[in-house]
Amino acid sequence: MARKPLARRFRSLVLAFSVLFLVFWSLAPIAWIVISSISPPVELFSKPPHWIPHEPTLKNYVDLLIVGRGFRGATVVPAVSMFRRGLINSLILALVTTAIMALFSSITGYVFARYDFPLKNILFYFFIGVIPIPGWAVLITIYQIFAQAGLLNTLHGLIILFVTYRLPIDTWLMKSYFESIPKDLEEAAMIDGCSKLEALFRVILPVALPGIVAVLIISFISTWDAFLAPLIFTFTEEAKPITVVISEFIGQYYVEWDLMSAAAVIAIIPPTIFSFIFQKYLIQGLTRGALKY
Amino acid sequence: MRLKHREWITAYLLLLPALVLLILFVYYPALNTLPLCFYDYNLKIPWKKEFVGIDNFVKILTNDQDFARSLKNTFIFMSVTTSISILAGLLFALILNEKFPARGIVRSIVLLPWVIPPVVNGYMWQWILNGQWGALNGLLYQLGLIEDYIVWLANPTYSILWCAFVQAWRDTPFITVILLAALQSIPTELIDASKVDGADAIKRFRYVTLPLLRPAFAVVFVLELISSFMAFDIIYALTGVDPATRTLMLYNFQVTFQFLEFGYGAALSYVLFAIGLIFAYVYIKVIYRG
Repeated sequence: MARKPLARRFRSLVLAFSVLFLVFWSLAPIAWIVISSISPPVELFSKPPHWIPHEPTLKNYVDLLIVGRGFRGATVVPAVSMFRRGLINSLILALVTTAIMALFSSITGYVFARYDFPLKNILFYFFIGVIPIPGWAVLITIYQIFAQAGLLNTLHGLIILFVTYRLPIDTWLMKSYFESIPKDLEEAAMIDGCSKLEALFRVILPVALPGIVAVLIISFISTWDAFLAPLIFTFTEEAKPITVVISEFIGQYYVEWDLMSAAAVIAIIPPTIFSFIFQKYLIQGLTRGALKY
Repeated sequence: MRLKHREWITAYLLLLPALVLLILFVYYPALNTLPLCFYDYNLKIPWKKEFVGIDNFVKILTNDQDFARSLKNTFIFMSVTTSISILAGLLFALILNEKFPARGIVRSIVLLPWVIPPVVNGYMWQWILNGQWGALNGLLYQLGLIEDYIVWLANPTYSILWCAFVQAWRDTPFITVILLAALQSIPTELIDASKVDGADAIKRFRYVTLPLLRPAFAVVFVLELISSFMAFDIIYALTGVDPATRTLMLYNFQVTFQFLEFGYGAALSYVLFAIGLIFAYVYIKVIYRG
């Protein structure tokens, strides 16, 4: 009897260390970039660096957003306006794409979950077949289409691409969510004279809200994080999102890591806030997509 | 009967916009790129477009040192990323499955590496691994583990491993979350029953938990293979296009969008496409087996 509390105490000690390790693993790199962003250069560029700055400063943020110390000689456009514009572009891209996806994937997901029609399975494969295909084969022609249609270097061009490539996954997520909702609800609504589509908007969507929120968050984050397509399809600050702007702050020979850190922190903030507020939905959305629950 | 037809028509009409987008920006481009594979076509000298038959493919498979090296890099990258992220993901899922204070906050923290932009992630780690002022060097130096700072990313053996590690760091939360969901779906009666039968924690894990996790493992494994095969942002941010870390994805990018060799690039993209299709096939098999 005497051994049991000891074993239990040992167990909770192991657990505590494991949790600490987990937090350190996930947080330490991010914490360091935050610390770097508020460290004065003297403290940051020392050997070893000051882990906690003695004189923290917000100068980097002021420089980045208001004053505009030169990054690598951004020739025509000052770095400040590039960064601010990138931030706005990213917000527009993420918000518009997310709003479109909310409506779009609710409808396509609902059709696949509830309607009966010929070729349904083949059409569904047609949707999800897109997911594992590496982009290059497609990007080569899209580049040419975009060039002809005047969509290169525009925000709406990027939004069209983002929406297209979100469609398969979001449709799949919404489909599996609708399938988990009992059919009685819409049947009752249809007896009251609603059409199937009306039933979606009047009865089902309110119930499906958690699923929709999950899709919205994943769409927002993945659009905010997007890099490859904008890297290829944008050339000027008109359309460059923050990820591409940051990649250009890295000069060939010299990088101002203090400013860079501040830029990185700003780019990290929106997805971080989302994952803290909507953690439950995010986790739900991820598992639903992968395990088809 | 007519009601049924009306439902068909509504369904098709509702799917139409999505189908148009998928055809216009996925399937048509994919097919349209195909003929390019058989041409020697550089965007810088478009007037010299010349039909070369299957020469591009022959060159890729038999006579392209850069391709061979990228293939090797891809293999190293995928194996290291997949092993680290699945091991860490399993460990973290097991930890998060226990009860402890502030578990909700810890779960949000665990998600962070996955939600921040991969390209920012890459730069963040480039700063940490920096050879002159990097935090990792500072830490190891302070602990007395190294005598002098090491330029981690300039060493061709280390750099690919670091890229794989950072990719694994990024992908781990995703795997954690999926394995955690699978863990939570294990009926507690099963665990209790094995306790009654006298199995200790290790035996319970080995003979009860692990076998029940198998389907989730299969999913996670295939998803991670796909994701590490298609990884781009992190490698690009960490080292740029560097022969030592250039995977097939980066090689294809370099050939097509930096050298503007659209013919050869198209052929390469189809080789990658074929590999992607194999993964897709396995993925669908795994998902729909249950």
